Amino acid sequence: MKKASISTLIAVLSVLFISSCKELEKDVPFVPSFDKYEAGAFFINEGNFQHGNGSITYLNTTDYSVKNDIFQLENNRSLGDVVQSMKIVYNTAYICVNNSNKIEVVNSKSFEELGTVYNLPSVRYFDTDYSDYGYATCWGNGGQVKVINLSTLEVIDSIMVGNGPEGMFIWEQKLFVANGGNTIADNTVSVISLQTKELIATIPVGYSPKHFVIDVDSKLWVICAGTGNWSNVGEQESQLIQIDPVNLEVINTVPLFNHMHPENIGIDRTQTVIIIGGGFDTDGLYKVFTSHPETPTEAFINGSFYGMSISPFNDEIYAADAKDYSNNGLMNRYSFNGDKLGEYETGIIPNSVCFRWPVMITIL
Amino acid sequence: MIKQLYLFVLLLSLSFPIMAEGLKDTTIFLNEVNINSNITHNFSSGNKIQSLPKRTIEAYQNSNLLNILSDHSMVNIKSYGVSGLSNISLRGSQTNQTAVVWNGINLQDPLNGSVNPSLFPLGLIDEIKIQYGGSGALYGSGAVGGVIMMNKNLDFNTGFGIDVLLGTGSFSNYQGQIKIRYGGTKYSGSLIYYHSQGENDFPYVNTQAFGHPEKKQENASNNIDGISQDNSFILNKNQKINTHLWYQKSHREIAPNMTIFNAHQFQNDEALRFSGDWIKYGEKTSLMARIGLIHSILDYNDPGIDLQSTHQSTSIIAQFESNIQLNKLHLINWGVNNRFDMGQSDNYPDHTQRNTLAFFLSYKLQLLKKKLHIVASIREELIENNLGSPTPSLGIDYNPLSYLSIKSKVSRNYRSPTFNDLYWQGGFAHGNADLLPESGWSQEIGMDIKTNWKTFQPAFQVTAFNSHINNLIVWTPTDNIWSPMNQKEVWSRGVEVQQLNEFYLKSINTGLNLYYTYNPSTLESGNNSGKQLIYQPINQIKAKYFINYQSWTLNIIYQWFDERFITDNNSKSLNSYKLINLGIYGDIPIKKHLFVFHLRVNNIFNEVYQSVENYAYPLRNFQFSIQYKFN
Repeated sequence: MKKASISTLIAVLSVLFISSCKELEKDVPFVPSFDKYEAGAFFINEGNFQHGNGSITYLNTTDYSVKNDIFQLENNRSLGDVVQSMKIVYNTAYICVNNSNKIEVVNSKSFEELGTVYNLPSVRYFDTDYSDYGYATCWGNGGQVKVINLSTLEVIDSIMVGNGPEGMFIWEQKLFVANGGNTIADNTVSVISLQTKELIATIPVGYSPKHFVIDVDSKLWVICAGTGNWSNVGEQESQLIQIDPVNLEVINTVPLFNHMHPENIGIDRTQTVIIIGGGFDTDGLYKVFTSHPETPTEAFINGSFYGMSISPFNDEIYAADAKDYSNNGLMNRYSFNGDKLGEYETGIIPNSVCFRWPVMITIL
Repeated sequence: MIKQLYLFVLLLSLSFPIMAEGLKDTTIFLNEVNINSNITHNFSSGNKIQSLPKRTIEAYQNSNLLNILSDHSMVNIKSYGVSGLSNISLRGSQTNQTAVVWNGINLQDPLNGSVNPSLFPLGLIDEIKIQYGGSGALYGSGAVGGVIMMNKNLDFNTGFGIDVLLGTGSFSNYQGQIKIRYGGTKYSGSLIYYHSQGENDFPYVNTQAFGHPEKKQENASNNIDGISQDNSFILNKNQKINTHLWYQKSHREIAPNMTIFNAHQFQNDEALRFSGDWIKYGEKTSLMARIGLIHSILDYNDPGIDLQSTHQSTSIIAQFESNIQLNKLHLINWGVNNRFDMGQSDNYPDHTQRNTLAFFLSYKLQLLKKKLHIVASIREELIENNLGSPTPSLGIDYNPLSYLSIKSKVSRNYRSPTFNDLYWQGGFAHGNADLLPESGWSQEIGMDIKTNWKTFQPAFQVTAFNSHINNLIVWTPTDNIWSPMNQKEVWSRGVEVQQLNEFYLKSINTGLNLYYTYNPSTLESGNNSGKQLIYQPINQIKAKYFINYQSWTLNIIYQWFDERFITDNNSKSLNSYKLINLGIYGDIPIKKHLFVFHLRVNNIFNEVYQSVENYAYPLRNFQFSIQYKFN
């Protein structure tokens, strides 16, 4: 974006940045700034295991220009080994680096380093209730959620959950954790009270629950990838499961596929259309309607994608193509209807997208 | 998930006269026997072969194969930190395309094709030869880029002797070795026990961590114990039996790269190896039979995610061969080799096995008053019930003048798919039972000029080589399954030059040896066609200064490594770097007692470098040992 036009805009507009990986945030402060990474999509590139070459690619969604490896660019060091996920919280981004057992903390607008959270064995995802605490799922020590003091960036508590904890969802002082399993399969969702920081319930679901979305009726949906035939429980079908977050009960089970194991889930802005797909052995992206959930039969976007994310700001769908898993990959951008809008080079093994969007409000 | 996928990658490493001491008549006899037991000596015509002098090997008695190859050969080494995995490759080949042969047995693991040279203590062997360039006809599968040969030769008529070595080094490294040996007129044997351990917690500045803190390398300790027992029996004036038994157990922490914190991964390796041969020497016909057994267990552990993965392999090798001297100018070697490999792994469906039966034939012709040697060889393999393509080679050695020799060789080389390539199952990955061997042709031509002047003995050697390998096996996602395919094609070519300058001045022998390798090795298929292979430097320079005075030797070794690309499209690379190492080796004899001293100083000038992306390497460090020998 050109500087002249920016100045003009500033005169009449105040810019509110809303950032999210999965859901709209509340009470976001005004941040009148047009920094390097102001508005766009951040592609998470895992990099190769044991190579330390994970990276973040920035797609400027104003002019759709791409900048690769922005962490290295701004900080002159590698981001780490197997970059799993990123979460933007106000002006700070928390980047989970799985095999480095750490979270790198950066200024989300400049991407300059702010610190590192260590002692996070095989960390996967980060979330926060916008208090002083953050929560990170970690595969280590049998599966734990680590509680992080966001002021000191230190781990202050560990809460045992199931095997291979993955995505989280925070709803009314409860933290839902999908126990996705790793070397030992799991089929539970752990529920933690954020007031007491204790496990309060374990909900049985399908095998390999991965991520959550919430629908218009305030019901949670969790994608359960199922397991492949190498698993200790044999091959298990994938499922989409609806959970009542108040009663902590399963309301509905939608069987998906016998031999495909989609790992990603997203929901549109109306919170009525769920998109599933992504994962090593899954072909295509599928829609499930929350009003009449049925097993999807036909993909609305074809292709084999390693990961999938949906923009919470315009419902555009980003589908990651990891190509040969040893060189740079490709990110495809689609409209919600499935029309291809663009494709962009990423780093090595792109798995998802974290979004940061400006919302402009006229000041009268 | 990709972490699991990648775990399998992890699991998935100038002839020197044979010194035979003893009675005069047996010396001659043993030389002849050894010639017959060593195919390469007679049938490697045309290949460039580097023999490491016995004194050099003795100077590395407190060290391992990795260090001696790094200092004294032009082998390309890729080492993941100090305690971790290391790979060797020759002439731009892949890491599993170099055969490592111990007392006649190829040690490449049938599961993943690798050999880790840092797990070979040099106390066990006293002969190392490096053959540059492939030799499929003589060595079969795996000898694509070259061959590293290691042998233990036992001496006769030396009586009882004992060696005790104690050593220490930087970063809490300690080692001990005891050798008991006996050399009689008909029997010679040795028993060796060794132990080494190291913390390898060297300090370094972590440039990949927030605030660039000074750290100590974590999770890099190792612990190796082993025992080796070798025998040589002279049955009568023309028959001999040799046996070699070696058991080793190691525990190694897997040193993480600089971006990883709190790593806990470790690996336990255990191997039992046996090689035995019988040789019957005859004027016209000589016979040799060899039997080998290798049993290896690899146990990988990641306690962080409760992962334990065990992989076992057993190989039984039987070889019979015969040399037939038709007349003084015609020599034939023929034989049969059967190798039976079994694999057992958490990631294989059942017990997997493969039988490879090979027939080989070589014919050597000497012309022009034995100045011209021509060797034609062919090998045919029957893998299970499938007949492979014949593997021929033609080599020529021509010595037109006493100081000049010319060598040339054309050969077909190949590498069979590993068990992981064929049978792996798990973590979205599937082996491919339909894989073809990687194979191709290589050519080389070399010239060697050696003088024999009294005080100054310069020597010059230049070799040009060219090699195409097709059907390279690459693991790639296909139809939603991670599976190996015969996909890549690689073209490796280049020039090796060495120039030796040795001076003999009364009791001092000194010299400066220079080595240079130019080796473009490029992908010839896919999107990155024409790009240099990753971790293959195009240029390598080595310079070695040495001075020998009486029984003392000082070596200074300078090595320069060109920039190495780390991405297939060559968009990223690691900087070039230089290393200077120093070695002092010598002894003090007191009657029948000998005290031998070894000192090595590595990276004298504190070069900060990355041999592998993001891995830390130690600055200046020491290794010192004293060896007591009684004879």
